[in-house]
Amino acid sequence: MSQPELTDLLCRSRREELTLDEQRRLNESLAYSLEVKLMSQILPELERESRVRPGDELLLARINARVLGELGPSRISQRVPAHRRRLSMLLAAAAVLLVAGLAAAWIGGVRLRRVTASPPPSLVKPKPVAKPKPAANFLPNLPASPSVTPSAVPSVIPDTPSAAASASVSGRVAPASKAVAAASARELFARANLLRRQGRSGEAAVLYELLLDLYPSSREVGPTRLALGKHLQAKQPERALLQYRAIAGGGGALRAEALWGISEVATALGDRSVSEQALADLLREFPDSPYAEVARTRALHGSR
Amino acid sequence: MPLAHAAIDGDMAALRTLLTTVTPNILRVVRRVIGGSHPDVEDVAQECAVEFVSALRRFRGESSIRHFAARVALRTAMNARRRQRAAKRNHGLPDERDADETAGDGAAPDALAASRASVQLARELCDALPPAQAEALALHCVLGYTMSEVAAICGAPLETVRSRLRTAKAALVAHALADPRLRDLVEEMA
Repeated sequence: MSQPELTDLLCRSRREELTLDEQRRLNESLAYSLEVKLMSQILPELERESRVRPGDELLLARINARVLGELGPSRISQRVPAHRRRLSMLLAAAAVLLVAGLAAAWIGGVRLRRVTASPPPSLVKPKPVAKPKPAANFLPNLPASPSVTPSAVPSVIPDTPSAAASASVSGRVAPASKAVAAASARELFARANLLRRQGRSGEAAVLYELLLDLYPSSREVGPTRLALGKHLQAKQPERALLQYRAIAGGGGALRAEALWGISEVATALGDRSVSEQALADLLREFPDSPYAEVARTRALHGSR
Repeated sequence: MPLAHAAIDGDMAALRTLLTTVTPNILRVVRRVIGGSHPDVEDVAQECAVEFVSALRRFRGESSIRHFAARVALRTAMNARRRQRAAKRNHGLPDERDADETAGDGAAPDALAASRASVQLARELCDALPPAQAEALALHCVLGYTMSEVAAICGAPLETVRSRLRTAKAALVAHALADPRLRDLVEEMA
């Protein structure tokens, strides 16, 4: 029997499909075949890593709810082929860079004019004229839009596309096309998710809030509020509640998950009536939701 | 197949049922590829589920829907793993040893270390091999499919899969021989 067939035997032995003779042959091969020996180490270890864990039911429920919300069947046939998606992304990226370049040039020009123009003596004390900084450094000196934290913006969004986003929102740049805005919201969301995965949840939260400020009508708003709610849930439950309520109030595919979040936060805050109301709404509106089973148990036994 | 067709045709209940059926398997695949305790398990599993729904149009029934989902999940998870490694390299961060940190079912520490090193080696090799070989190796060594099942899942002739696996497993053995973490295991064989 050739070596590959021995590893086949190993795969089947994990499913207890071997005859006694096959099992004996496999056991013998462990003494001389390093590849069989390696696979005999790998497969059981991976089975252990991938076995079902407590909380998997809810994890799968969350995944299914999000996927069903994000990509319904009506959109399966609308998916663009990969090469066209790549082209669209490249075009969007090029558009973002173009807008960023225009923003940098325009703002650089404004600053230059401001520096060289004589300020009214009644408003500004006389002081030495500062050298104009290069246009690329415009971002830290931008007056913040009312909803953006000035110190946070340059530290977490150092590169051009996001700078373009900030600039466009402050009204200094010609309105970006919808495609550019959508690409930027997606980019912010992706960047925030990356930070969260790297364990930099504080910085991720800043980006999530920035996205909500800059793109309040983008597709990413719902998932962003959900992510922010989860981030805030432990330390700032009141603010988390606001995020969940905003999602729940807007309806949509994430309402079930938001109601679940409201129930969790309200329980933590000791507001039993709100928690029970959220669970009742969840059961009434989403009886087939994966959360429903847990919600029913909670409704029966009180909040916890 | 009828369930998949109904889902493609816009039947939301069918899609929900289909997802409920395949996502546990998707989660299993993701945990095997990126590590059971990896912080991105949920995100990657979700990405896999989205890819699965997007890929449904290509499903022709050559394999079972579970096998189809496993292949889509495997490719997506392997891509996610490569992306993460590339991002870490770009940021100058060291690669984490991604063995699971959960208890090892009372296994002896040496044996546990050897099996984790073997898993690590297989994952690293899947990152480095050419795509067709990496996929065959992952389906066989990581997901535990037999060669005929791998052939059915990939839609490739059995001999082709056998050849890909022969090369991939030779690389696995060569890397194991050179890996100090597996010295004891190799010496046992000698």
